[in-house]
Amino acid sequence: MSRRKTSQSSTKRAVRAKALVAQLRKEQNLLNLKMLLLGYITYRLEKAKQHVFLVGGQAVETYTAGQFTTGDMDITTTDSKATGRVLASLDFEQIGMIWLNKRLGVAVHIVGLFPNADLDKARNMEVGPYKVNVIGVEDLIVDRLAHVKFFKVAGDMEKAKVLYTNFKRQIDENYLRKTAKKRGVEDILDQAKVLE
Amino acid sequence: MYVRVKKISAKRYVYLAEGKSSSGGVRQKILAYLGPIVKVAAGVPDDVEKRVDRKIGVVDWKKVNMDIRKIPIEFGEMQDMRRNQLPTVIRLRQSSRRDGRGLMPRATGELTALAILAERGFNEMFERVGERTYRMRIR
Repeated sequence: MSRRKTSQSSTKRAVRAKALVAQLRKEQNLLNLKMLLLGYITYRLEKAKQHVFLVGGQAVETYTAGQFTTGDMDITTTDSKATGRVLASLDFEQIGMIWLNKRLGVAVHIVGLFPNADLDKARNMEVGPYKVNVIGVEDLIVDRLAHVKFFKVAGDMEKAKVLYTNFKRQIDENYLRKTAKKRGVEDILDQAKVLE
Repeated sequence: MYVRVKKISAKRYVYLAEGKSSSGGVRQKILAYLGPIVKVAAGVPDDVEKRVDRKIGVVDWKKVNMDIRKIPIEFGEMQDMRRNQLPTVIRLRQSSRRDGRGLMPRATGELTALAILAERGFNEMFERVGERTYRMRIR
């Protein structure tokens, strides 16, 4: 591709990104806004054969339809530098480990390396014209239990319980137990299976 | 002295005003500007209180804050308030009390109710279109 063509396509991309931010500003539902935003980031990265997954508190917020809210949006990606470039094109500025867009009121945290979770267990959400990959419920439950056991975040046991209760018909029990054993939280897994 | 709200190009702003009687009746006089409603709805910030105190003398801030709290907040303003509070939420998340509930226990049945609401909300928000695929219903 010639230099001129490359420059034209990047200009068009920048215009599209600015238009998306303006459109998202009008979105009244914050969960819709975050999902559309992540859908666009996923779209941009998948064009470059990279992947991004929603993890952590925002994944819990999505699976519980906002009953457990979170501050920032945790994502994990195969290319954090490319993800940073996409976020910068959407007017996000980097503050320490957080990417913040003050106009949208959204903070994104690119966490760690790409998850060592089973990506076949991930859920795919179609959000308008985009697609969002959300870490599987099984991995999310184990992740919350690890927070309870190793970081003493007592509130995360409630999240694990609600996730298990609401998705138990779809959960792969063998994978859940295997992952819990691998992460050293098998001893508290059964607690998560009883809601109250 | 009372609280007055003015709407200027779709945004609402809060002022302190007082009624002045004149020959033709009562005229309203603006004493001080307090700020956009989204910034003062949860209480007038300390720096604004100090500025206004310097300008017009001592104000009963307890009463002013109570009056501001009686103003119904619109949905868009609530969203803006949430956006403004984002840095506070992040700071809270980074502190040791991450769940924000402290040591307060849940009432019996509260978690069950929450799970039911979460399930209903998720089903309303997402339509299942495959084994692990959903379509978000964007309203």
